[in-house]
Amino acid sequence: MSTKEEEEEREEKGKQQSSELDDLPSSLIVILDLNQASWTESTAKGGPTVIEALESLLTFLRAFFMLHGGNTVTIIAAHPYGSEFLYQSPALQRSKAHGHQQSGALEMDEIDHRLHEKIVSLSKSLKSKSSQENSDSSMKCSLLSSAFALAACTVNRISSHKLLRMLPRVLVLTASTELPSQYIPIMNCIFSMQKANVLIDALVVSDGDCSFLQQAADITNGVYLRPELSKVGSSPGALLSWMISVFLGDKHTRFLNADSQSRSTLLRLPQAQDVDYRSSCFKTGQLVDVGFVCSVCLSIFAKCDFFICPTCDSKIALDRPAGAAVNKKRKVAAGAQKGDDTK
Amino acid sequence: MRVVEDMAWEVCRTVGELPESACSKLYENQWACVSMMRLMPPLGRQLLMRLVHLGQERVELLRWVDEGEVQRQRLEEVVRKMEEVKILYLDEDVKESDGVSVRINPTFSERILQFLLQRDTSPWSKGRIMGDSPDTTAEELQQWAQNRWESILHYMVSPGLDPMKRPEPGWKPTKWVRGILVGEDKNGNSFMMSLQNLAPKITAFGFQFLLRPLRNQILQMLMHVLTKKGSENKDLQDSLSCIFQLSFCTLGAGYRLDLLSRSNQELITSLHDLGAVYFKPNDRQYFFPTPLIVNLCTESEVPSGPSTDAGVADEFSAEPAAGILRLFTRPIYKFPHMIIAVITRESIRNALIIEYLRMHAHPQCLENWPIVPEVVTDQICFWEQERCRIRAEPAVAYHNFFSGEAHRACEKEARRLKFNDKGPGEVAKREACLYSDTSEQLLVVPEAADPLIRKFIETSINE
Repeated sequence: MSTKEEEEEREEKGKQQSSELDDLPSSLIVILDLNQASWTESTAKGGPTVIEALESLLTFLRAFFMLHGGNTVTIIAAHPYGSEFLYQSPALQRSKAHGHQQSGALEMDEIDHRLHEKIVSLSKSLKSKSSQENSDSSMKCSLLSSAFALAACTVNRISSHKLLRMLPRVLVLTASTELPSQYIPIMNCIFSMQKANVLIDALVVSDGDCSFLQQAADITNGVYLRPELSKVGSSPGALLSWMISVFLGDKHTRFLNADSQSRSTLLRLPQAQDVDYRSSCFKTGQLVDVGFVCSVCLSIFAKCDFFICPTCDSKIALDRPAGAAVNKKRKVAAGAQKGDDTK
Repeated sequence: MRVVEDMAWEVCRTVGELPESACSKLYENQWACVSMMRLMPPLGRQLLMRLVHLGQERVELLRWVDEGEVQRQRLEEVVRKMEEVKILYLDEDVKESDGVSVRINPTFSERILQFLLQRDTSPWSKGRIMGDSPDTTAEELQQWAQNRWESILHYMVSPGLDPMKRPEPGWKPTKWVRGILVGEDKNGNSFMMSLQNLAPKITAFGFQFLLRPLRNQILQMLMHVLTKKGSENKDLQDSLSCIFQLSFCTLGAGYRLDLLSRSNQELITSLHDLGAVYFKPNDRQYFFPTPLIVNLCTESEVPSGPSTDAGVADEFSAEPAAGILRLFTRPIYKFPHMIIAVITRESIRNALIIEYLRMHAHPQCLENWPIVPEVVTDQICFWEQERCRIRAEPAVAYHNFFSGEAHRACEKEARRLKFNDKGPGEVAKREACLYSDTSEQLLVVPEAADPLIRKFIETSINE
């Protein structure tokens, strides 16, 4: 390890030690999946409507602000046409980093107001877009990858700012489960968050698991939660109760020692069960059990029916039969191993 | 930051000492509930949030944390804190068996829920006006409050100085402020001592107060005001609610004074002297809370910090900062924006100094990490330890021996002679020779060993 890296590590350690004693405020980044199709689908199966989910989220944020006056929030919406910031606490905005913070209680009124305004205008623009592009576009999944990238940028800005001392973490609220086509960008964001020591929590309101979010929560020590649809849908407070009891705490309450690598837990939270670590084919976007890995760029493919790697353009020997391509394309058996490869 | 915790604890103790009836009255005020919640440790807040949703049921908290001795200890510590301020009731029957079963204070729980669900979350919203004039913008209030607060600190450091040189020119402490500064709290601590015919002088307690972060200073001052000896505060819970409520006010907004209760009106008027509340000149109808008190129970301190290797460069924005520095350093140069001073052994009295340097660093020093160089912090720690290592005791020095021979013999005897200086019961014995120099023919022995050595010299001369 070069001296510079060592120095950086020492610096990191110093920062962590000093923060151990502090009761640092949290900065919560909420990624809100506003894909109409998937919410409609989950409502049809007995889940809550998107409005109910939003109301629970707002009350949850109220509780979040109540915990610590310095807590800040960023809300990012993901929809089939992209992603955008819905709200960001004044304290996080660059020009106001030195300014006066509003008291948490009052910020909430502002969020209620701004969020409502933004979502109304967003749904209008989404409607006009989807009517322009015919019916099949409404089935497209939300661009969670782009929302994740925005979240990663926010995390970076918070942690590189000298005067903002906060613990950033991410909460994803979604009703969609299938996102295989965004595997690469999402994984990149997740690994960068893991490196930045940021927890990713996921609340999936659907009847099926979302494997990428499972992986994200597992890798970053966050919590992945998929409550039973019928239970959450039947009473309006159920979703809120889940959120408050599981997602409200930050590192200080989830782990005995917020900064050390040993993850001995303090509060009992839902544990990850059987995380599906399969990755998806870089070409078709389908989940693969056993596939081919490019020896140059480590891309994963379900089938090897090409001679130039579609990702990195490296040549694959033409004169060999498809079965012998194993020489060039390493076969990978275990799914978990592939997860490691992409790191 | 231990100090921050300490202050939160101070507030909690004040609340904990309230009688049962006053305490339940305090929790009638939702702002007090939210503030108390924020003063609890992170785990406590988390538990409370969950408990609020469970209503009046008895809950076995041990099931909420992971198994393990450390986890259990943390939980019990937090629960004890919350029980002290009467937010939780411990279940006595279960306490003896193995478990931590609690019930939440019903009023507290109700107020928190109410807060979560209501729309308008600002105190005293009835008589509120939003900033309408240039002298009550957030920046102006900040400036005014900071000058006023620094004038008070300045007065503590150098009471005799010309008032025109204070951060707020012409400011003189009112009788009430002087009373607060020299007044003792229930533990007998006061910020300043009043001397006959002389200007009051800062006490050690007051000096420690100066080195604390701003938020702690204000909390400490407020608690001092509320619990000062002599001013028997009958409505302590009422004043506490008022202060908690003030901390949730909006910066720049004005609030009608005459809508408040008589005692709260008095409190707010006196807080004006401390810079926590602003009144427009010649107009006491509306009061404007300043940044000193807004977010008091909510905001966390942003530490900053630094220095050069040989000296201390401190941001020289305010006269009191320099005054405080002068209390523990020897100033060498003074520039418009910085001051260079040397820390000496004599000047080190308290490890809080390191923290103080960090908090008030020059912006350029913030670029470095650690903010205060390790060499400086280490040296400060060494000096502090040195004070603990050296102890003074009476001793006797012998010189002018007849010969080097005699000196050597005496030294040998002193080294051989194990004496005990704490009475016959002590087992641990020390060598009697403390210091010996052959070239100077000097020997130093403890006073207790003096008769023995004297006797030895006499006998050896006789021989």
